[in-house]
Amino acid sequence: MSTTALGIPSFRSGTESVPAAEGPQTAKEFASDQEVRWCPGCGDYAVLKAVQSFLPDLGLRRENIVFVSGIGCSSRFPYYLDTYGMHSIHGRAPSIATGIATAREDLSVWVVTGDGDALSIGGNHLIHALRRNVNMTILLFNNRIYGLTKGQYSPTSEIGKITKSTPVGSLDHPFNPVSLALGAEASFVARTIDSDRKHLTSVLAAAAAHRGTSLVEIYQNCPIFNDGAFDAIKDPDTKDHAIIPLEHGKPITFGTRGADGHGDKGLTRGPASGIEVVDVAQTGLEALLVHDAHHPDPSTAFAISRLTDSGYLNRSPHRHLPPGRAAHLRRPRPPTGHRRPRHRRGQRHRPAHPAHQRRRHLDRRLSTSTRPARTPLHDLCDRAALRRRQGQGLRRRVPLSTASTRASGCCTSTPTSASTAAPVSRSVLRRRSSTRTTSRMS
Amino acid sequence: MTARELDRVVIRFAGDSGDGMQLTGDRFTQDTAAFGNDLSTLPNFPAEIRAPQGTIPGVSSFQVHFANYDILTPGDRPDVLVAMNPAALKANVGDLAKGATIIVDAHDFTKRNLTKVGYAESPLDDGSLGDFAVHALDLTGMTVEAVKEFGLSRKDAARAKNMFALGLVSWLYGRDVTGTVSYLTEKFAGKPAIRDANVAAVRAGWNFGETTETFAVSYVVKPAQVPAGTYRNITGNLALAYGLIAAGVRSGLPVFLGSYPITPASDILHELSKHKAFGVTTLQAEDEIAGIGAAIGASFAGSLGVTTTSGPGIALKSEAIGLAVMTELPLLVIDVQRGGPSTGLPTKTEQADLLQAMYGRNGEAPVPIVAPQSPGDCFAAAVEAARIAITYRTPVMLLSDGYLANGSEPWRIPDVQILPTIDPAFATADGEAFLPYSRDPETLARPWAVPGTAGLEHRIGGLEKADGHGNISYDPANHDLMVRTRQAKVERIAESLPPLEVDDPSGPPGSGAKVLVIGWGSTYGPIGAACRRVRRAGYHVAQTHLRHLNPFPNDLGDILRRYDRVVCPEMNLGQLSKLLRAEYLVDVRPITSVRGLPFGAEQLSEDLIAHLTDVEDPQ
Ligand SMILES: Cc1ncc(C[n+]2csc(CCOP(=O)(O)OP(=O)(O)O)c2C)c(N)n1
Ligand SMILES: [Mg+2]
Repeated sequence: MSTTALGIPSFRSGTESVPAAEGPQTAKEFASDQEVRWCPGCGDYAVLKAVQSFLPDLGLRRENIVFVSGIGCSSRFPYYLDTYGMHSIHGRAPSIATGIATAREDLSVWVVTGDGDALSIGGNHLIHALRRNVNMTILLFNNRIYGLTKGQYSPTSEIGKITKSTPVGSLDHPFNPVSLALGAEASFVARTIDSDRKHLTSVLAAAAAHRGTSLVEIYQNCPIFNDGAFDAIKDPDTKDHAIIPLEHGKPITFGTRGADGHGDKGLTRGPASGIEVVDVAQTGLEALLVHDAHHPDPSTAFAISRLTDSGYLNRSPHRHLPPGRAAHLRRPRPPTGHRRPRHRRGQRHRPAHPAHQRRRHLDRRLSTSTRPARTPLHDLCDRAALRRRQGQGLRRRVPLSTASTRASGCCTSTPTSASTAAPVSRSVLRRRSSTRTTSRMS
Repeated sequence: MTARELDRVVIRFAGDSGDGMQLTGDRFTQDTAAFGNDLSTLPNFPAEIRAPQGTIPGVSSFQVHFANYDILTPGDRPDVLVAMNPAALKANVGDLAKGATIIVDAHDFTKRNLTKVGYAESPLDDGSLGDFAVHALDLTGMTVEAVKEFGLSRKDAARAKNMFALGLVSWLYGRDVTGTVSYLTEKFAGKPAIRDANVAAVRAGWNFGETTETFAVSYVVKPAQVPAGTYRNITGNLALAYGLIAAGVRSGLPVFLGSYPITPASDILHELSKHKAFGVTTLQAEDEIAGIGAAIGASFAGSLGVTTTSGPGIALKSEAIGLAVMTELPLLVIDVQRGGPSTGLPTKTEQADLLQAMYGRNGEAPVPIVAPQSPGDCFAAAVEAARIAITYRTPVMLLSDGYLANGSEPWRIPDVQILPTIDPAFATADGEAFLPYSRDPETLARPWAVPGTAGLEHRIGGLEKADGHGNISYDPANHDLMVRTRQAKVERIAESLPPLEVDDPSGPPGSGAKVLVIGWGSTYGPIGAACRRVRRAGYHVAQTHLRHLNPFPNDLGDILRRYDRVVCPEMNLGQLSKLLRAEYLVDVRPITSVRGLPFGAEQLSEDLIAHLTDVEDPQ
């Protein structure tokens, strides 16, 4: 008998085989006795609070929940939850969680990881975890910086980022974690932000309900080494224009909201393969793209994810994407051992003395940093449900190549509604300001 | 036609890597095992799947030693060489005993093939093989003739020549080929023409021996006298896989293997992936780090976590092994050693990972080490490694090697009921506050509290943990205590070990032999065979062999000090010798070899005699 013939039941939720709690639980029961030791104002506090208050709603036995983390500030997370937990080694949490989830179907398995942990040292484990699709949820705390090692640039830092290790600006093009995950065959991908408890909680619920590997990117502010990285999407004046909320089954709009709740900007399919930002007044609502979180083909989700201008989120003034902008999205290539600058239209590359080349290249990059800060939030893709319903994809669903196959089944389709970003509850952050910081290097 | 009785024979089948020599050798071995001889094998093949045809680097060989008594090695010098082409002859003729029989496929001794390997003239004609009994036979031609009724292309027909050779050699040594015939019938069930051709070739080879007068004598090697029991031929990797399954059964734990393919360890992954019925889960991970990561996760979740690899993989796993040391979780790390450093010699054997296993991690990270001594012994070593890992809550390193992994010997299938039971003794809630870093006073092991157990929720990790409650601690005194405690826990394992056995027919230690030979791992066979030779030559020598390399048995120091000289043959540059010198201040003399092959008993016995005469008669 082959693994595909095992007759794996469909329509299973991510928590279905985890024993339910006997009675109601409280957030307090999920808090461990350990003092929380992040810096004052760290976005990690808000996520911890959100998770602690979300877990009782999940309704699972506390002893059947396991949090596994790698190394980084965010990876201290498991110590503060009174569940089972392992703070492991840098980048490897997805592999450890894979072992736990595969060995024990009766456990709800969560990974907490940072942008360096997940995308740099652990990049290989992340992509393979996503394609393997074992039942677990990965919370990727993206502060676009290495916090714990005191502020070097990370794989999500924008080009030109000045840090301790890049005194004249970094040269590396960043990852867009959502695009990466979609490319890695992820079956559930969402993005949310530390400051929006309601939205964050709704995403956690959807991720937990999904059977398979869910990736949740959480934008998280690091007040010490990368403060304000997400200001454009937190500032009440700009956030409506910066966040593109995605709600399954709804036309995608953002910007200034009208009486009907729709924004004045919307997304349509572009002339080529991409997505275009349009004025709703000109096109009408009917012309807009309707978000389909369960579409088996991730192409549209990927195209939407490309609207995140990952390079310039924290330094650029809010501006609209100029028409035809997509043509500029060419990735620079290194001509002579150096990366070639991202050109402006019409500008030609002139050979330069290598010593000057790098400098000039940085200048150009910085000078082109006029992209709008804009990012689609919420579950861009929850493909499993649809694939399941259609009886497709069974083969890819089977996580192991091997002896004991504990398939990850699928999720019931529970499209969650997305809220727009609410202002950060500053009080939550301030309340913690008395907490002392601890030694930071790991 | 006469049949002459022999007590032992060494045969080497050699040919191009595409000639199917491993299969030929393996089939001869299986038929020999079924016949009841003791045996030992040595496959030797290039790392390339298809090295350039007809060249020396492309030669693949399989040596089998079988006897009517218990033997310890695959033998130094073949009595029979089957060479399918000039390259195979050239690569192997230097190893033959004087008077050996050479069977060559004359069909392949063409001008072109001869020049390819640098023979100016055919060795079959120039008298250079005068010391041997040479049988130049057109094996290819006879095979093609024998299978022509099955309508195969000439190329496919010629490919059955290895089976013709097998049939011929089987006749020469009175082996029954029934096992091979049913093997072929099953293997090629879906390809009737190929199946029938191969079967016909085996039979034709046998009949050729029987009916022609090419061979004036055939030979008889009677079955060996062995303790009663059910035996099977087994390779080290297979025995290791079975040992892991047995450990799962005896501990009541599901076995979880996280692994990434690497020669010569992959066969353990292949085998275990067939045994879901025994509660085995295997995961082929994206790399070695993920393999051990998943195994650690599974151990945390209450499985017996296992990871299998070779030296390069151990290098990648080092950080994670440190995590298992710190979190004090049971874990088996199996290193099937190969020639190093770097990619080294993937298909050749070596014992040069001992110090890596012992010290190859950051910080004070003691890891117990066990080593099997023969292919069949891999079974017991795996069970022992699991006993230590589970009882002491620690990663355990098991050091096999390429020779054990691919070599085979008859193995008595043990009665599962007499294998030790291993008690995982999971922690249970007793209403008190749970202390994940409290310790069993006898073993110093910490409790293993498995997720799903209410009341024992706790967090572990790679940061230093405070004694007892296990919260993060940077306290200097606590770190000092924890480092010493982890070391002491590993040293405690020695209390559970049986006394070390010393083999010395000349009397109790200290009375007869003045020289002790000590070894570890796969050198057991060659050292034993060398000691037999040395004793036959009239010398006294004592032999002991280490199963446990960390910690050493408690009585090892006393034993070493009872001899005037301690000699340690190793397939490295003296790694165990170094450890013994450091630990016991005994002047251990290494005998080292790193040729990618096991020690030859003959050479080793000469080296030992040099030490013996030196001690008897110091200059
Ligand atoms: C093998 C290894 N390499 C490097 C480090 C040092 N290190 C610890 S955390 C970290 C980066 C963490 O960045 P991120 O994952 O973004 O987490 P954050 O602190 O920002 O939450 C590095 C480089 C380590 N602990 N282990
Ligand atoms: Mg970070």
